Amino acid sequence: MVNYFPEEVLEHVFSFLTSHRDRNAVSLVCKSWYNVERFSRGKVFIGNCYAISPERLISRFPRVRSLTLKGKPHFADFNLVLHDWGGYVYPWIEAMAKGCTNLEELRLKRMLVSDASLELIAKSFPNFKSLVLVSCEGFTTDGLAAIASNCRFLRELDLQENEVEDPRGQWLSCFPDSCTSLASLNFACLKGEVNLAALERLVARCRNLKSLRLNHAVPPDVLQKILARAPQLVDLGAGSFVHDPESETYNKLKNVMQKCTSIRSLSGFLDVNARCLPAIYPICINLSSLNLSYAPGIYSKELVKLIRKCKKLQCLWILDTIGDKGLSVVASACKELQELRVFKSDPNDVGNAAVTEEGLVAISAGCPNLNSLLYFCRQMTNTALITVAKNCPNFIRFRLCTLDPITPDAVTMQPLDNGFGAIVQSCKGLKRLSVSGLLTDQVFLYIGMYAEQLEMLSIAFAGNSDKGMVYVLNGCKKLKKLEIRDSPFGNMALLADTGKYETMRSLWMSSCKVTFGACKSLAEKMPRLNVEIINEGDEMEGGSDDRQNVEKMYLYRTLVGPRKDAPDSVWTL
Amino acid sequence: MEGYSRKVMGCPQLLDLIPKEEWQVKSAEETSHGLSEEKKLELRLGPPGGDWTIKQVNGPKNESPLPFGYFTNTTPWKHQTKGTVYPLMGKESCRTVELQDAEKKAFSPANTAVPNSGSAQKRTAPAPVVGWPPVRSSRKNLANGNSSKLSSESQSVVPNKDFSKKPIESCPKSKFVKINMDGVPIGRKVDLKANDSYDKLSSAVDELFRGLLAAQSDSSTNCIKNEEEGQKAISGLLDGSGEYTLVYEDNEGDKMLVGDVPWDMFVSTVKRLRVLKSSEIPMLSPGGSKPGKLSLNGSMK
Repeated sequence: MVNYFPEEVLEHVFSFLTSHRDRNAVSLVCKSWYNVERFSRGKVFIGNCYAISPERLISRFPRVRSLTLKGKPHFADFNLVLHDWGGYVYPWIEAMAKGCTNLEELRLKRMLVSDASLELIAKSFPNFKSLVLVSCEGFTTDGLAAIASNCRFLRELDLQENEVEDPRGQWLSCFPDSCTSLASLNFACLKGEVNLAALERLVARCRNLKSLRLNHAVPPDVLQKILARAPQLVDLGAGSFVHDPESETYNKLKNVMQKCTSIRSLSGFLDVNARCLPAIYPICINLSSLNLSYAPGIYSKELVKLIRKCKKLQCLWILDTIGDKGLSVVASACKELQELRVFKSDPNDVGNAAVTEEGLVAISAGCPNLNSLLYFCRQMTNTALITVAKNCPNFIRFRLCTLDPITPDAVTMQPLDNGFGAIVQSCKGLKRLSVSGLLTDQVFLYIGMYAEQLEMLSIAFAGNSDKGMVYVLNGCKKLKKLEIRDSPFGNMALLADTGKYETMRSLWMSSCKVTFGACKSLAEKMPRLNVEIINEGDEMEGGSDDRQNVEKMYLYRTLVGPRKDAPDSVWTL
Repeated sequence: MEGYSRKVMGCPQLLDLIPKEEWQVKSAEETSHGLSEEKKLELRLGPPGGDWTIKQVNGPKNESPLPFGYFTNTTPWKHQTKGTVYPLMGKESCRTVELQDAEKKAFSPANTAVPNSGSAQKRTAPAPVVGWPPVRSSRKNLANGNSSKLSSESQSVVPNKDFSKKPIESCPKSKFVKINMDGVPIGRKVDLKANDSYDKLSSAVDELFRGLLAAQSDSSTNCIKNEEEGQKAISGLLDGSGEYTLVYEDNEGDKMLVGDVPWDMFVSTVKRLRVLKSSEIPMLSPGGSKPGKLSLNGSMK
C-alpha cells in the first residue's frame, strides 16, 4: 500500500508530524518512508551531542533548519562536572556552516559556547532567526554583539541561566536600526550594565515584541518607559523593582501596568522592594505563570497577598520563604495550578524559612491538576506523600529534595520508601522522578514495579545494595537517563544488564561502589557505549588499580565512538 | 499516624490506592506463577528483553535479608481487606533500617561525608556535601538578609537535624529563645511563634520578668513588699522610652536592637534576647554592620 502514495503525498502527511519521536517512528517503517522523512525533517533534537557527529546529522537531514543540542550531564548544574568536560558547540556550527546554511534556529543546553562560535553563526546563516542558550558558558557579550549586529532577521535571543562575561556591555546597541523583527529578548542572566537608551529604542521599533526579560541593570523608570511602548507584551521579566512607592516613577509604573493587559507570564524582580509590589496587582488576574524564585527578600505575607490575586495561575516558581501557611493560601486561590517549584531561599538553612510536608499536602488538596513539582523542603513524611499521590494522580514530573539527603520520615523515623512508592503507583504517567531522604532498596523495588513511563530518575544517598539499582534497570522499560550519586551500587548492578544501556541515553554514577575493572569490562563488552571516567585527582597516573572505586563515571550510547575533545582528566575506556 | 505496627485492617483510608479487585487478581497470579512481578525484577545476566529463565525465587525466600523479607511476609499480597498498597511492616522496616545502618557504616564513599554514624533514630548534622542540596550557582547567592554571611558557629549548630532531641527547635510550631534580664540572675524562655509580633513579644517579656524583677528589688533592698501592691510594669522596651530596652543577639553574633527589621526576618535571625537597662545602651552604636537606630514604633507588624 505504501508504494501507491507518491512521495509528495507522504511528505505532506509527514509535515503534520511535529514531535521528533513520531518522526523517528515513521522513519523506521521502511526505506522509502525513511527517505521521505529525512528530507522533510526540519527540526532535529539531539539529546547528547556526543551520540552522533555533525557530519552524520547533515548527511541524514540535509534540510535541517532547527537544531537542539544538549551537552554536559545534568549533575553539571550542581558542580559535579568539570567546566572543561566538553560539550563544545563549535564543531557543529562549523559543519553546518559548510553543509547546511539554511539553519534558522539553534537551541543549546549545557554546552560550551565560545565567542568564535557566536561569530560564526552570525556570519554563516543568512536566515538565522532564533538563538536559545540555557545553562551554557564560554561566551561574552562580544559574541552577543556579533549576533545582534549581523542577524538581520533575528526573532529570538533567549539567554537562560548562562555564565556570561561582560567586558564591554555595549552589545545591545549593536542591534541596527533596521532590526525590527525581535519577538523575544531575554537577557535576565547578564550581570553587567546595558545601554538603556538603546534598549528603549529597540523596544520601540520592534512592534512584534512579545517576550522581554530584563536584567538587574534596568531600573524601574526605564521599565515604565518600555512598558509604555510595548503594552502588547505577553511575557515580562522585570529587572530592578526597587523604588520609592511615594515617587512619581512608581505612579507612572502603576498606571502603565494597568494597560498591560496582555501579560500572561511574569518573572524577574531581581531586586525588589516589596512595598512596590502593589503596582502589579492589576495584572495578576491574567497571569498564568509567575516566577518569583529570583526575587530576594519578599516575605511570606506579601507573597501571599500577591499570589492570591492570581486566580488563573498555572505555573508558580517561588522561594520557600512563602512557608507552609503561604502554600495553603496558594492552594485555595490557584485552583488551576499545574506546575509548582519551591526553591530554597537559604541554601545553608540557618534560618527557619522552609517548607515542610504540610505545605505540599495543602497544595495537593487544593490543586488537583498539579502535574509538575520541584520541592525543596526541610522534612517529609510517608503519610504526606501518600496523600499527595492520592490527591494528584497526574504527576509527570515529581522532584523532591530534602535538605538533609538522608532524612527519614519526620514523624515515624522510617524510610520514605512507602511514600515514594505511593507516588509511582498512583501517577501512571510519571516521566521524571527525583527521590531524596532515607531510602532503602525497597523504594527501587516500587519504582521498578510501577514506574512504567519513567524516563529520568535521579538518586542520591539512597539504597542498601546492588539490588536497588537492578530493580530499576530491570523494571523501568522506558528509562532514558539515570543519574546516581553517593549510593552503594556496585559492579554487580552495573554489569547486570549491559544491553540496557543501549536503550538509554546515559548513566551517571558518582561516589558509588563501581570499580575501574568493572568499567573497563563494560566498555570492552559494549563498543557502542562510551564509558568515561572523570578523575579529578591524580589516579590517572600509571596503571590504575582495577579494584579501585571510580569517582565519577558517565556512560552514554553513541554511534561515533570515543570523542576526541576530552580533557586529560576524562578518560574514555 | 500511619504506624507500621498497625494491622492491615486498621490502616487508614489514605493507603487504599488501588481497588480491591486488582489486588486479588494480582495475588492469585502471584501464588500460581510464583510471584511474577518479582520475576521481572530478579537479578540475572542475559540479553535485554530476552527470555527470562525462571531462576527460582527460592533464593530470596530462603535468605534472611531484606528487602525480600517483604515477600516472605505475604501479608499484603494475600490478606486484602482494605487493599493496602504497602506492607505495613513493623519489624521488617526496623530491620530494613538497621540493615541500612550497617551498610552505611561499611560504606564510606570517597568524597562525601557520611553523616550517619549512630542509630537511625538519631541523626547528627551532616557535614556540608558537594552539590547538595542540588541548587544551581545562579540561585545560591540570592540576597535574603540572613543567608549571605554565616558564621561557622551557626553552620555547625543545626538544631532541626537532630531528631532525637527535643522537638522544640526542629518543630516548626514553636521557637523558644532564651531571654535574660539585667539584674535578674535566672533567665526565661520565650516562644517567638506563640508571640508572633513585636507587641506580643513586649507583653510577654513584661509577664515573664515583672514578678522576678520585683522579687529581686525586694531582696536587694531588704524591704518587704506585698505582692498585691502591684508590681511595676515593664514597658517601653521597643522604643527606648522605658527603663529597659530589648536587644537580641543574631546569628552572626552581633547585638542588635529589637524592632528594626520586619518580624519574620527578626525571627529567622534571632538567637537570644536580652533586656538591658536603657541607660546602658549607647544611643547611636558606632560598631556593628547594621546601625542600631532606635525605631519609634517602627517596623512592628
